[in-house]
Amino acid sequence: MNNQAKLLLNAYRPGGGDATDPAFAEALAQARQDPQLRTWFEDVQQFDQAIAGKLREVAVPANLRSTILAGAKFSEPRRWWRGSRIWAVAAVIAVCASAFAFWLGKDSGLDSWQTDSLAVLEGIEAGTTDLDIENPQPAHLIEWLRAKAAPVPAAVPNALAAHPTFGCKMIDTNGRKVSLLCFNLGDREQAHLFTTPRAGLKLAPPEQHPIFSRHRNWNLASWRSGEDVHMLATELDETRLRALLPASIAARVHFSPVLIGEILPVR
Amino acid sequence: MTDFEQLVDRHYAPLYRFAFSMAKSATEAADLTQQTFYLWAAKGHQLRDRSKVKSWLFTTLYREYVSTYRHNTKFHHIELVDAAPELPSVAPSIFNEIDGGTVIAALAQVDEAFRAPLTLFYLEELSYKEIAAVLEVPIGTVMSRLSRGKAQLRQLLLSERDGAARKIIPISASTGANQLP
Repeated sequence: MNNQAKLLLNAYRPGGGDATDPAFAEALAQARQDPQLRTWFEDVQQFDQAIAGKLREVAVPANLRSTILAGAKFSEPRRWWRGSRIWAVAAVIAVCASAFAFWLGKDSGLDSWQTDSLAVLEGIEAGTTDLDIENPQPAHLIEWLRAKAAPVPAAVPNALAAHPTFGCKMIDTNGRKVSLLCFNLGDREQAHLFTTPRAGLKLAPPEQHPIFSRHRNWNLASWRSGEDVHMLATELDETRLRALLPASIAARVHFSPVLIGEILPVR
Repeated sequence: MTDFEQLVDRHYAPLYRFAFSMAKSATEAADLTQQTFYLWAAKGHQLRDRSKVKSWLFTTLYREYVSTYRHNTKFHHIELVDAAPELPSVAPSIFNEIDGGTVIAALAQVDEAFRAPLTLFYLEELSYKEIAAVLEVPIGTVMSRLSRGKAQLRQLLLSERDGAARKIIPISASTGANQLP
């Protein structure tokens, strides 16, 4: 019995996060009543205090904090798509997964322009593809896209327009023009708005009714607005994604069995 | 001050000390700590329960250490044994007299399977249940390893103090428990 009590008491730290854990109560009571066990426990506690104190004395390099913060700046949103080996590896895996899915003749339920566009976005994140231009002003990017005869959103959702952009890119997927606007939501969060003409699409989401889906790390909302089809992609959760949609459509959810296929609704 | 800076301020020192204990090198410990925060910057937003930030950071650092620095692929599973190893009998005050460098050097010699829970225990940042979660072992295993780790550390410190040979007989050998890899 003492051995079991010793095992428990060895894991006990007075005043620690689990000091009130009932798992220790019986062993502590036993130590109070058993003089031999109490002496052993006092010895253990003195030893523990000494070692914990010595460990706290381990000097942390003076420049570590500033180095961590400086290192984090390399992954600041403005450069979030550059220079990350992790992202590069993730992109390679993603491309392989796409190729494998294609080979199997199975897609994720998304239209091909959507999967192609997301692959471009993943390439930007991995640093293997560049944005066409970088600018923090959405209006400036839209002007630039319009001048290039690229599709542009008739209106950027207010919740997005309130944030600066990283940049934009024109994407050509099997002759279909798609534009991409990348938004910096702050705190290393991003959202990406794709726009393509409705014309020629076999599967277009319903007017003003967003379809939610998930593709790898992306939570997606797709909707049609007049002659444009939009897809908003983000790694944020569904609630955050909804908050970025135009207010007029955010509350409407439409699941189209024809379009969705294997898409799972965002949980 | 940004949320990220606050997060760094709150956790970078204990994370570094844990990394230092595991990697036994200041440079590698700094790298592990930096990498942990880098991963937080890239993926931390995926953590929905913000109360688990500290556990996330320690878990991430430990996984980074395992994947980067440790050559052994897996710890052998060490069964919980009822018999707690007897601690060498000695006046506890002598451990206060040993300098910090000696303690750290002795801790570095403790078997790795014991060192990780032992360091997390002494850092006093995580509950024993959280330590079990970080190391991905059962709670009983954490308790067993704490018990054995303490006995080993104590013996190492006494050997150091007495000027005896630093290499000690593993606790597991003297008690008949499973050997570490």
